[in-house]
Amino acid sequence: MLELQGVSKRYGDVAALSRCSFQVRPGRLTGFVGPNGAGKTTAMRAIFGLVIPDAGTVSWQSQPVTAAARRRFGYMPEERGLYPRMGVADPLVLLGRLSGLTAATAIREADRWLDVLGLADRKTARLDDLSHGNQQRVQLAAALVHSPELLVLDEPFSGLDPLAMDAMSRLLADLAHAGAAVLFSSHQLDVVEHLCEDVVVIDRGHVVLTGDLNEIRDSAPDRYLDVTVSRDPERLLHLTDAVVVAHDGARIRLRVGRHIDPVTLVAGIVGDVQRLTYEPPTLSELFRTAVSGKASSTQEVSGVAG
Amino acid sequence: MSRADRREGWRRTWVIALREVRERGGSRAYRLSTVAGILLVVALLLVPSLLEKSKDYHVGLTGVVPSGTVSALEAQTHAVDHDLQVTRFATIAAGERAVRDKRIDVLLVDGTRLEWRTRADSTLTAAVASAMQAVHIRAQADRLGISAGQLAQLLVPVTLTSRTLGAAHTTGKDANTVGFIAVGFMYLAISFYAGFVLTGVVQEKASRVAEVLLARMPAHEILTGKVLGIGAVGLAQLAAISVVAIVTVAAMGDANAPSIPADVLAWTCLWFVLGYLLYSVLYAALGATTSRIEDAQAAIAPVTGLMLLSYFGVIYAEENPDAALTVLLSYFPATAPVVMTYRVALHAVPGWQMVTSAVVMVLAMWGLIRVAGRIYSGALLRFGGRVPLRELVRPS
Repeated sequence: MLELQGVSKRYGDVAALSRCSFQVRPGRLTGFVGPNGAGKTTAMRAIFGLVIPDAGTVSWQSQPVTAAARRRFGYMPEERGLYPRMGVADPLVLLGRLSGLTAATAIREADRWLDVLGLADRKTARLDDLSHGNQQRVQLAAALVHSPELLVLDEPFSGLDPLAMDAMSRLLADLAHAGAAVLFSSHQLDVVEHLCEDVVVIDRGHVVLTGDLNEIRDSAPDRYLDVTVSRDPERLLHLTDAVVVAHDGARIRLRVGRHIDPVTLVAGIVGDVQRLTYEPPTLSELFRTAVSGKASSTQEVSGVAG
Repeated sequence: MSRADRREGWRRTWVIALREVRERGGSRAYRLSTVAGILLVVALLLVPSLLEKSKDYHVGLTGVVPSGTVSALEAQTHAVDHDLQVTRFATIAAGERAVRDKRIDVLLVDGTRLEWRTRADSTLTAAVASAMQAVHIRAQADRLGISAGQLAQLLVPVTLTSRTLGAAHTTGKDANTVGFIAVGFMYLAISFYAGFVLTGVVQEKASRVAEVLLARMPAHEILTGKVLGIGAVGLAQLAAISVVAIVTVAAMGDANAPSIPADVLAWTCLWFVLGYLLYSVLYAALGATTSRIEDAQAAIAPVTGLMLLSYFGVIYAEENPDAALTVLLSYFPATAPVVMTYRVALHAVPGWQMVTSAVVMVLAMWGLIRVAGRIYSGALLRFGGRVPLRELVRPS
C-alpha cells in the first residue's frame, strides 16, 4: 500500500500541497480528482521524488519510499515524454533496462506490452508517426514495461476517443485485479465513479475527501431523489424537507436529508409516479459540494500546475 | 548506499551512455560530419602541396642564349618537381613587358641576368643558377677536350635523402604553429561536443522525456551517462579524423610539415577530455534551465564567455609566455584546457605543473558535478521561462 501522510509543498507564497494524506491500496483502482491547479501533479511527482516535500512522508508497504522502491513503480506523466524520433519499441526497452530489467527481458517485455496494447503491427514505426491515441498507448507501455507494483497515471484518459477510453478502462481494471495498486487522475468524474473503488478529492492543495467511494457516498448527509411524474410536477417544487436541484419537465431531482424517508415524502402523489430513484450523491455531486464548500474557507492561492 | 546500489547506478549510467552512442553515432549528422571532417583535414594537408607541385615555371629568354640552356633549365626545374615553359623574346623590352604582364615568371637576359616583376622566387633562382652553371661547365669541358661521357661521369648526381628527427620540443615558428593548431582544435572540439550535450538536454526537457527518466533514476546518473556517451562518440570521431591526418602526412612524406611531439599529443588528448567534461557538465546544467533550444544559447552565454577568455589567454600567453597571469590561466579550470595545451606545445612546461593543473581540474569537476546535478534536477521539471539559478543552487 502507498501512503502519503501530511505531505506539504510550497512554491514561494503558493501552497501546492497542504498536509495531504491518502492511501492507494493494492488490487484497487484509486481515482484522483480535483480542479485544475489543485495539486494532483505535484502529489504524483512527490511519490516519485520529483518534488521533495517540505513536510510529510510518502511510504510504500509501511516503509519510507526509497529510490529502489520507486523503480518498482510505474509512472505516466501528464506531459507525455518519449523520444519522438525513436522507434516505438526502443524507449520501452530503454526504460525497462533503467528499471532494472536485463536487456533480453526488456526486449521481451516491450514486445509483449505492445501486443497487449494492440500495437503489434506498429512495432517498427517511429513514435512521431503514430496517432495521438497510439502514442498514448506507447506511453502507457513505458509505464508498464517492468510490471510495476504501483501504477501512477496522470490524466490517462485525456485526448482519447470513446473506444480508446473503454480499452484503457478495461486495462486499468485488469491491472488492479491482477494485484497492482493503481492511482490515476482524471477530470472525467463519471469515468472515475464507474471505474474506481477508491477516490481522493483534492482542492487547493488540501485533500477534502478520501477513501472507499461507496462508503463516502453512503456516509454523505444527503440523498438524492429522482422522480418522474405523469402530471402536476409543480407539487414537488415546494416540499418542506427537500431542495430542488434539477427540474426538467416531468422529471425533478431533489436533495433531501439522509434521515428523511423518501416514501413518506412522495406519499401524496404516489399514484402519479412513473419513475423513482433514491440514491446517495454521485461523485460529481460529492465533488461539487466538497470543492465549493472548501472555496470559502481557505485563503490559499491556486495556480501552480496540477 | 550499498555496493549493489552503486553497481546498479553505474549500470543505469551505462544504459544512458549506450543510448547516446547509438542515437548520436547512428545519426546521419554524425556520419556526415565525420566524412566532412576527414575530407577537410585531407584537403588542408594536401591542397597546398598539390598547388605547389602543379605550378609551371614560365621562363623568358632574350639576348645571347648559350647552347644547352633550355635542356639544362628543364632538367633543373624537373628536379624540383616543376614543369617548365620557355619563350624566346627578340628584344629585352618585349621580354620585360611579358614579365610585367605576368605572362612569364622571370626573364633571363644573356644567360647572366634575371629580371623579376616584384620579387625573386628562390626555388626558380636556384634552378636557373644550377642550369647556367651546368651550361658553363659543359662549355668549359668542350674547350678542355673532355668528352660528353667523361663529363657525365664527373657530374654523376649525389643522391640526397631527407628525414625529420623531431626536436625534443619544437621551437620558434614551428612550435607556435603547433600551439595554435592545438588550441584551435581544442576550442572547436570542446564547443562542438559540449554543444551536443546542450541540445540533448534541452530536447529531453522539451519532449518531457526528462520527467520519465527522473522518475527512474537520479539526475546525476542521467547527466553522467549523457556526458560520457556523447564524449565517447566525439572521441571516436576525432580519432578517425586524426588517424586519417597522420596517414596522409606519412604518405606525403613532407619534411616541411610541423612535427608534433608525442608528449604534446598525449597532453592535448588529456586536456581535451578534461575540457570537454567540464564544459559539457556546465552546458548541461545551464541548458536544463531553459525549455527551448532558442533560449539555450543565451543561457550558456557565461560559459561561452569563459571559452573566449581561454582564447584571449592564449593570445596573451603568446606575448608573455612566462607571466604570472599566463601560469594562473593554465591552472584555472575553465581556461586550463586551452591555455595549458598552448603552453605545452610551445615550451616544455614542467611535469609537476601539468599534473597539478590536472588535479585542480579534477577537484573542480568533483564539486561542479554536485552543483550541476542539483541545478539539472531542479530545473528539468520547471517549464516556461528561464529558471533563476539562485533558486536552484540554494539548499532547499
